[in-house]
Amino acid sequence: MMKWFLDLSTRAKLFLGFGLMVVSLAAVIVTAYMGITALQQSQRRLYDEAFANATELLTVRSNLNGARASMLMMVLVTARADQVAWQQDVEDRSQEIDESLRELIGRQQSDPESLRRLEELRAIWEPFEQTRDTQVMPSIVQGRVDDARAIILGVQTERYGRMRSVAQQLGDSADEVARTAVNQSAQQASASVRLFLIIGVIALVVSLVMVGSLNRAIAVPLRHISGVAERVASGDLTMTAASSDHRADEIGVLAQTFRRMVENLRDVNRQIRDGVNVLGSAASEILAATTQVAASATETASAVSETTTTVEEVKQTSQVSSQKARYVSDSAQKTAQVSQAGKKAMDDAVEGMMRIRDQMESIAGSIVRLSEHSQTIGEIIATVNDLADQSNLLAVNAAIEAAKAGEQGKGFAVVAQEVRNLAEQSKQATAQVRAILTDIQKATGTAVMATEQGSKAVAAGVKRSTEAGESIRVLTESIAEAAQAAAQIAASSQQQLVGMDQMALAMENIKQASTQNVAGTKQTEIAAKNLHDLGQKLKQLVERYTV
Amino acid sequence: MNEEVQRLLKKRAEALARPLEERPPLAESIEILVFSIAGERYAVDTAHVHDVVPLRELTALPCTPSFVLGVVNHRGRILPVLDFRRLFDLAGDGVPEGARLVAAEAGGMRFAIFADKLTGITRVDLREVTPPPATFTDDQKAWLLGVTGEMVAVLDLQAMVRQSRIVVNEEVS
Repeated sequence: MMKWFLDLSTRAKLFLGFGLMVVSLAAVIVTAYMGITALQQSQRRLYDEAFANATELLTVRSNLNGARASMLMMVLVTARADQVAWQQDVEDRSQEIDESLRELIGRQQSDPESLRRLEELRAIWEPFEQTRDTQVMPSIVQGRVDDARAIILGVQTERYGRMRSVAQQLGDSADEVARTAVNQSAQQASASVRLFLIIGVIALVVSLVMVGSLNRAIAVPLRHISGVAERVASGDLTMTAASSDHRADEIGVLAQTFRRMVENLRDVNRQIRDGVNVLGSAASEILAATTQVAASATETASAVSETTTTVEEVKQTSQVSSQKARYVSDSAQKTAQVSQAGKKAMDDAVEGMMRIRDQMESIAGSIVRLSEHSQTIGEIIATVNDLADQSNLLAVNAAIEAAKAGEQGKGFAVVAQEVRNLAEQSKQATAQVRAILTDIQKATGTAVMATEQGSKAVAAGVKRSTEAGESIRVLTESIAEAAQAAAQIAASSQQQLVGMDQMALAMENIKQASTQNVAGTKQTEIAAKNLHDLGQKLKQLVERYTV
Repeated sequence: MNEEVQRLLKKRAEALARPLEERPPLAESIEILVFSIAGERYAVDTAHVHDVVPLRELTALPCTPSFVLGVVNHRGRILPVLDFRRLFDLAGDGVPEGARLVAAEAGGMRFAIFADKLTGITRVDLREVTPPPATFTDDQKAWLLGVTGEMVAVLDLQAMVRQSRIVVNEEVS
């Protein structure tokens, strides 16, 4: 029974519920309206008929009384003016009574009893009026007050009494009618109230039922789902929305969708958590790697800077070396020419050395002869020295002899002294000569040795110079090759210089690139740091959800 | 021209001429033969000197004091050779090349004095000869006349031969 209700769409449920309530309300309103309208009609009828008749009858009675009183006053007063005034009053009242009677008769057509009585009243009233107008009034006006009084107290009073009783009866009857109408109206009102209450209670019950149903069908599941949503919002994804009621309406769809959504959210959260963990560790590794890369890039930049400087220096060095190589090439060319001349000169030198050897041999012979001569001179000097010694001794002995001879030997002593002086001089001279000769002999010996060594040296020199000639010939060839090589080296060095220029330029570019690289790595490092922070933040965010 | 030459020569002769020595009286001056032994200069009165000869063919004598260098043949006579290096405690040994012998005679004894080198003959004033300094021993002082102003020790050969020490009279058993 509830199933079909639950399967209704919420819109239909709402339409149904509120429709029932609106219908109930409408029924209540219609009932109330009808009851109130009926009451209104009965009240108006009451007023229009019952109370109007009674009132009209009272008016008629009042006017009857007033007209009688005025007639009596006319009788009583004598002044013409007063009589006229009272007469006017009587006529006015009579006119009102006529009108009231006419109305009453017109209204009481449906009530034959009342009509009959009214006709009866009119039947009395008309002769009464006629009598008054035709008899009483003229009598009074003519001053026959007694006549008038007689009529008034006679016929007219009797008529009046009858009219009053009829009117009295009519009034009672009208009161009766009115009372009956009031009772009917009260009964009708209570019936209306009862009906209204019954319909109202029914509407209330229907409304309560609908409210309860809607509450159970819509509000309770929604509250449940909203509770789940609240816990999901606070990060608890362990909740599962109650999905036991497989309902076809929006609530059921909402519950199922919500459950799926929570499951998906849980899956997504789990995957995000895994992903965030991977991201965090990856970001950490990236940060570490980037830091290393940044450090390396800085080192590389400094190394590149140093290398650039070095390359610049090498470039300058190679420039110098290129110049040197060119210079060497030129020098080698000159050297090749010089070596050609040197070869020729060396041949001449070999010939010269040959001649020197011959000369040296003759010099050696001469010196050997000189040495022999000096030996002879030495012997002669020894002899002379010996002679000088002996002369000296002789002179001394002569002096001694002269001293022994006394005064006669004086002259001889002088001679002996002179001889001794000569001997001394001879000895000194020989000593000098000997010294000189010794020097000469030493020199000669040295010269002999020198000439021998010279001869050997010259022989060696001849050999050397021959070898040197050969060497110089080889050297000349080598120098020619060297000159060619130097020329090639100069060309290579020039190319090398060009290469070094390009290399320096390239190194400059590399340096700039390295600087940019460092800046880029710094930025990358900052980005990696941000990424790392983001990973940590994401991790914290994800950890707020318990799966 | 000739006169000019004469004048120049005369001038040169005057410049070269030695003035005559003022000779002291004979009694107050003696002629001495100056020689050197081991660097020290000694002298003897030429009155005692016979002649001076080169030292040749010295024959060593066994069983003699050390101051006897040996004996030589001097003009047919055998003379002992005194070595003053031993008597005056001087350095040196053996016979150097060019050594001389001064043949002298004193107190009836003839002997030869060994000398390294002859210096010459000169005349000294006895008043200039001063007693030997304290560096000599008493024995040595006894053999000296004195020391000249040029620090030449003048030997007193008479006194020397009088001393028994110089006389060699030994028997070798």
